[in-house]
Amino acid sequence: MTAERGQDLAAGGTARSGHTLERLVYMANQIAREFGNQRPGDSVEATWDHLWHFWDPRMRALIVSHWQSGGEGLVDIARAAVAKLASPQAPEPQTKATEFNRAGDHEDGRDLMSDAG
Amino acid sequence: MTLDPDSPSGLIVEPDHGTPASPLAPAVTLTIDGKHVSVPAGTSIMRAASLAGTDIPKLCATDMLKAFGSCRVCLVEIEGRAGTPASCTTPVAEGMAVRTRSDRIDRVRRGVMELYLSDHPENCRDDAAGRDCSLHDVAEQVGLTEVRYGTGGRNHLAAPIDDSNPYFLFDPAKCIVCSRCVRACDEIQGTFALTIGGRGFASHVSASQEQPFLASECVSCGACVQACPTSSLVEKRVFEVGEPERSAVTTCAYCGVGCAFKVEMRGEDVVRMVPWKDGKANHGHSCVKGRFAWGYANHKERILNPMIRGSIDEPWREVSWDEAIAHTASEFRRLQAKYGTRAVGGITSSRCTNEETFLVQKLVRAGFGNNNVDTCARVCHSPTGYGLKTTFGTSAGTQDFDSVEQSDVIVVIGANPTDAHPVFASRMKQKLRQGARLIVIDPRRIDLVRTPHVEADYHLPLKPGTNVAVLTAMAHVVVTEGLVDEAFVRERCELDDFREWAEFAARPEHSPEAMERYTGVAPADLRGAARLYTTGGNAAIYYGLGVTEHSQGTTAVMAIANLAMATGNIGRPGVGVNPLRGQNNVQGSCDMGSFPHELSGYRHVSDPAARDMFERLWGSPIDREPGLRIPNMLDAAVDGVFKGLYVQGEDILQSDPNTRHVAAGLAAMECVVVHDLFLNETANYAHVFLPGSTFLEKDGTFTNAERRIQLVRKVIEPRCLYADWEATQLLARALGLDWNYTHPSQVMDEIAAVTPTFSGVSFARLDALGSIQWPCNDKAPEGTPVMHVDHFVRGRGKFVITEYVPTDEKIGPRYPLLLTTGRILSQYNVGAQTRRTDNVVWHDEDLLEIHPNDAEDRGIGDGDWVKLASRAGETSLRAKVTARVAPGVVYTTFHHPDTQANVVTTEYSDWATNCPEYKVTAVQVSPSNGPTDWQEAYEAQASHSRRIAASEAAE
Repeated sequence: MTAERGQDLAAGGTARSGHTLERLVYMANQIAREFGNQRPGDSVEATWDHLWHFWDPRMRALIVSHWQSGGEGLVDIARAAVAKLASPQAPEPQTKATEFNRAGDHEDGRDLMSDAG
Repeated sequence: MTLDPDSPSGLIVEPDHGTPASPLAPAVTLTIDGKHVSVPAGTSIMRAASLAGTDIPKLCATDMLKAFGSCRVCLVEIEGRAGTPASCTTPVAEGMAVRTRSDRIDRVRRGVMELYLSDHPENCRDDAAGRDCSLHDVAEQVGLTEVRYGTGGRNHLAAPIDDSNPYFLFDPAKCIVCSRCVRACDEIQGTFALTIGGRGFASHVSASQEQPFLASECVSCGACVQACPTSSLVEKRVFEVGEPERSAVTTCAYCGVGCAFKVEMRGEDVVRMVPWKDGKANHGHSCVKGRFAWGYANHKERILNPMIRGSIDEPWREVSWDEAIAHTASEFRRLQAKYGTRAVGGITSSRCTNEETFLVQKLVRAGFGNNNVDTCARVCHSPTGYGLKTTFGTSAGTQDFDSVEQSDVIVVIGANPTDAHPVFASRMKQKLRQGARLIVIDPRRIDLVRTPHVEADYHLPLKPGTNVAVLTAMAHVVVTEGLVDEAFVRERCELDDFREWAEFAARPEHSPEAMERYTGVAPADLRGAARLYTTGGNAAIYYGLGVTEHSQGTTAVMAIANLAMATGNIGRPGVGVNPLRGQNNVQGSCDMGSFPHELSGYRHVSDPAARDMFERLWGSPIDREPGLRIPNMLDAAVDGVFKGLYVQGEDILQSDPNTRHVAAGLAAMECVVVHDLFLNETANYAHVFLPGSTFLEKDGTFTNAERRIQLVRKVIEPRCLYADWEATQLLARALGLDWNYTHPSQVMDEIAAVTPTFSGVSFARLDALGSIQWPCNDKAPEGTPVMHVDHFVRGRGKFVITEYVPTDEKIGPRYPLLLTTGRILSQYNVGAQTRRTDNVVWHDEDLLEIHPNDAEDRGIGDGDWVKLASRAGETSLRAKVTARVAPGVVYTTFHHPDTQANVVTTEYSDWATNCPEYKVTAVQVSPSNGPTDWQEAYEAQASHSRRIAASEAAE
């Protein structure tokens, strides 16, 4: 599974994305800053985990490709997290926000995840 | 519910036991007309009799209101007691022997009714509202056959009718001055707009100080109309359409409160919507939107035929459903062939039913083969999802609405319930009038801060964007003043996380004094509020989009959760963390798998076991990659890689931030399909229009803010031929999916099969129980009112460090004011529905609230046109000079497309979820002559785009 995700990443990137890339760098830094405050010990892992679970393949590909060409504008935690995103490995969930219900994992009927708005 | 025996066509008539149920437990036994009756202590004789099947005549009594004892027709005799006490105000007692009929009682009752009828229109029964007048029924019940006094005496029959309110009229001639309307306004709604003016024979119902209803403080909730026993207050529709012939119980399609209504019909016309007493969310109350503002369903601008066009410059062309569906399917397949599987997506509607939402996300995942599906929760409560899941293990509101009755302290943060969730606000105000304490944290002085018989103990008027600073400072007070509920934390929470958090909160830089420079909140008030929250008894937090719609929205949600855990305010009635949801089915649309990273049941798409469950059921592979969120879709569209979008019941051009960017994204797509009631703003950029159906035209379910699933019942056939779920099914079939649903109940059965928290839900169960709060499964077969009772869903509660990070949207010399946005009572969201009703008499344009000091500095007077400019764009609207906003802060609503408030909002968003930062925009306000060039250009494009080609004459 992880290897296939890596291939998807390679296929996802496109040009004409200056505005989008700027936003993605901004967003990655925002995430990194929050995890830097929340969990100084494992902020890189948490940021990696977040990007892996919430960003679509093209967004991940764009930021990885940006990192590969120098990663201008990325703060340290974000830069390290994107480096990990570039690997074919999947992160361990760092927060319960990304540790989702698994099918059949409902023995006490209380595992009630909700993202409602 | 019981059917009215006189109404073979099936009008639902609810029993009225005359006085409210007693909350006391011990039973008291008495005899009524010789029959033994056992009821809770504190029950009135009237109610006890009614429960035993004896209907004592009544006029001023109803079980929605406290006993009043004014009409004197409910008199009874009690053995051993003198006189004829009123049965509504006399409580039962052990061993009491009551007689409800005797010659004496009959005589007195007839005398009373004779006097009433001597000053009542003789022909009252002849008009369409006659059936609503119970005076004649009661006269019959007491055996009155003639009025001896004639009609020549002094009377009130010539008193003029007040028809100022667009929805109901007040005919004083029919009024018996029983005070039910006054009491309903006071006790239920809490507006205190009505009173009895004059004395004796001159007594009369008066709105405010003898004003017409429309000019008074009346908020048009309809409680008085519902309470009136004589049709003196009655819906105008009854005269326009005639008396209702049939009815069904359904669920309101406006806000997240989810009020249950009886919709009363005559033929295919809705006569009125009357709140249903058994509705567990509203207990028979309503607001101006749900009660009255449903006329949009028949508005002339409603589009009833599918339409297509080659480009948005062309006029629309009406086509058959077959052509529209075939065209759409072929376009999506073409785009995917040319640009890739992930070049298209869909947006589910938080206004449609659970079943419809489930089918749209199924269409995207199984039909488009990707996960590019999102919903409007993205722009409202997505931070709630992430924040409460991290801390508690689930984002759902922790309580039911009834929980507020057991609260001692109520905290309202970034929410304005009297406008946005009015029916729940009335419940909240009832509790506040009974003595609960109130803390309001809001930049504006919202109505709750000081309203009749309610005054906040603390109002913390923070600067917009500083929620996290205020909440962290409150945590500082809790930790440093020894107010932590240590037993709760030790038993229920992760201790290492708690210790880290406590150490963090205790740092001097987080004290209210240190934080004041960011928050603007007086430290003494903040300390007082934190102490009250912690020590005042059961404390409940209610919050809204003022918390979530920030760059640190998710952090603020977690800060709220931290406070609730640290003080032990979780897991029982009266406490909790309660997000007030915006739209009727936003909870449901999220539950149904509308987010791009999650399948229904909140399972991540990367989980092979979860995917496998759906793949086997649906027979289609599920993409393992998370899809695009709405703002990401628009970015990708501008980049030229996202080309097609199916939007059901959502108007992203008006509701989403930075209108220019949304417009650019939509304009870059090759096939935008809008499935809606009206040609909304998004439709200006659409290539296919599929006509939508209203909640009156389909079966299904909505899930409200307290996780309550309720049935929506079809009362008329879809005016456009197909209910929304049927149209989605047509599209799915055209895309090659073998869908064969014949009723939404089958969709719910599928949802229950794949969604563990819904496993016990079915239409049959909902019909039997009235409503169900999920989770509903083998462990909780009738649902779950309060969550996290013995342990958190995630196991142990997790404290999260919440460092305040100021937003990057900063004020400066060019943009020195902070704009925040919100809603008003009479309008709803983008206004597509409410603007097409008479609710416009209360609010026909968005206004910019500005403090007198800021207005004076700029030479702006009340009602002047002003230009509102931000870094993103500019618009113009009229100013309302008011001290409700603090100096430096301006406020407006986003209900009107002419204003386009979102032209000025920016693309800044929550760090975790991309929820837009609607609540903080740096702006400048200056005098203006009228609409900006942009507004004029927008209007020109919109009217050009809305053209519909004249249909060709039939051969």
